[in-house]
Amino acid sequence: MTLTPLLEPHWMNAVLPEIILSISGILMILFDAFAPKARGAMAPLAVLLLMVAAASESMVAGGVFFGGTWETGALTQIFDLVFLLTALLATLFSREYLRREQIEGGEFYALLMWGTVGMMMMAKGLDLLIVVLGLEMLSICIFVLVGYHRRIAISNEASLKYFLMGAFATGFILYGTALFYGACGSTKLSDLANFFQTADPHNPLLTVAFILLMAGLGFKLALAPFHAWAPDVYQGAPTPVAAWLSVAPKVATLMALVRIFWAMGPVAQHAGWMHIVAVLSILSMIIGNAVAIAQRDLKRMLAYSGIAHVGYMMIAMLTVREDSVAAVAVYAVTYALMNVGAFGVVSMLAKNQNDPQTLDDIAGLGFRRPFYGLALSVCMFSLSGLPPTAGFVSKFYIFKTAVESGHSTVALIGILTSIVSVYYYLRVVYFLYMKEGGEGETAIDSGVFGVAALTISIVGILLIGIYPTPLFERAGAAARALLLGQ
Amino acid sequence: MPGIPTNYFLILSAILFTIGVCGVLTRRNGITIFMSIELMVNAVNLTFVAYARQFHSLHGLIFVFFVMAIAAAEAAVGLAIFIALYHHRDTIDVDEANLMHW
Repeated sequence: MTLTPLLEPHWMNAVLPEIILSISGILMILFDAFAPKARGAMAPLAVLLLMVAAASESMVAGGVFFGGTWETGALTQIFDLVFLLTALLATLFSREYLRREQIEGGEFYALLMWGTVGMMMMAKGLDLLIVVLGLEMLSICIFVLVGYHRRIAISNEASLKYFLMGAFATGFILYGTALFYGACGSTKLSDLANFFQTADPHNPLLTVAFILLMAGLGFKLALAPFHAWAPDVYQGAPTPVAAWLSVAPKVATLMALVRIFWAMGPVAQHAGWMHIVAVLSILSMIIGNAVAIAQRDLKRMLAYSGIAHVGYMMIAMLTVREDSVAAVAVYAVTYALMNVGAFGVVSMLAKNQNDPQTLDDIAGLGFRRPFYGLALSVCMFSLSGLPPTAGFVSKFYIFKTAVESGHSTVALIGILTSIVSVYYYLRVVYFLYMKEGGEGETAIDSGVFGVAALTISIVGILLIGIYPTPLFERAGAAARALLLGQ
Repeated sequence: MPGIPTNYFLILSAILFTIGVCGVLTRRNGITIFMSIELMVNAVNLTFVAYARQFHSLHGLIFVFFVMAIAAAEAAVGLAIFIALYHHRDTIDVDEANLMHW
């Protein structure tokens, strides 16, 4: 009998970005401890380390590693780059935010990096154990980051709410995993896939396990009806953290769901589980868009719009095939650019964390602060899905794959609700340019970091909107490689 | 299999999990809610151990070790959050945390 080696040196290549990010986080904390005078250099250092991690992505070998529990490939690379991009933008916005609030510390950047490692684990794990570990690594970093501004009551309160909800949701995810383990004898997704080939779709144990898992992951995704925490947490969290939190964890959870749904295969369709997912998606789109209309606080409005956007992405998940996975990947890239950009503008405008940015605060801002006005407008156009922005092409792609998979009704609801959403997104643009504003007291010193981040967002949104072909082709090829092994 | 059938463990863990969920939904003291969540997690551990015993597999046992580590890490961060909350309000009643509409 030959023993499978537990570790082979070349496997380290498969976790290179994770290793770099983990060490970078430690470096950030040590830097803060040993050179507190040089705090100003911390954000540039964090940006540099994130870029090194992104560069190392090209050296990662594709394949299955660690005894079939870890898979790297073109698609995980795209998702990794989305996580790194989100972390990079959040870091750039954080620099000005943290200095303004006078709470800059190395652990902030370290937690962003470690959270990113958790997301990468979720996206690459072929074993539910790895997915759960990644999710927890991410969640614990989020608990701390949301409450990072601990002297401010709403930040602490947001952290409390996210902690209780998140830990509660983790309980459901774990119980669902335990029941799947009981049904199939393993938590590896490959074993689950084999098991589901012959599983009885009417086994109530499996249905209960699926509902528990979806309820738990629905919390993390802020899917209605599990969305109640999202507006409060986004409002209370430091704004750059809210920007990061509103995108990256959702994208990572979606990637984990792609693998889980793919492993479940036809059983999921027979057992009507996808009807449950369709209901969650429809509820999210309707509740998210309807309640967003009533919001005047920009952060709360973006929270509800984020609920709706997860609903759109879930439409593509109803049938997991190459096109729909590619559509989710494209949407993830777009969503990262536009949502972080929108939160970033809000972060730069507020005088402090307790200063809410309402529609009235941004009235006339487009003339007082042309660059911020432009950036916010581009993000709003993209979020509402108007051409020639990235939001239009990626939303179009989602709805197209949904109709091709035979989910016309859900796609129709998606299109109708996204028409409704144009109202509240363009209302922001209306306030920016067509309302008389105050005397410009919201404007703060514009920092070069924030301007750089906003430029990345605007250029990315317009580039993908005008010339989407390369991204679409790459995502399509990556999704084929993941699902069909070509 | 000799000894107690696996089903007994599963029923017990389902009951414990339900008690935990009820505790989270009905209690208002932060620490008590957190204890209820720990009860849910321990019910999950019992399920894993019971199945691992039935299958004679290590997989479920390893999962339990990681779940315990996760619970410990959550406890560390969670209790710190409660201390910060207590500093702000002199209470850890979650109904008092109502600056934003809960």
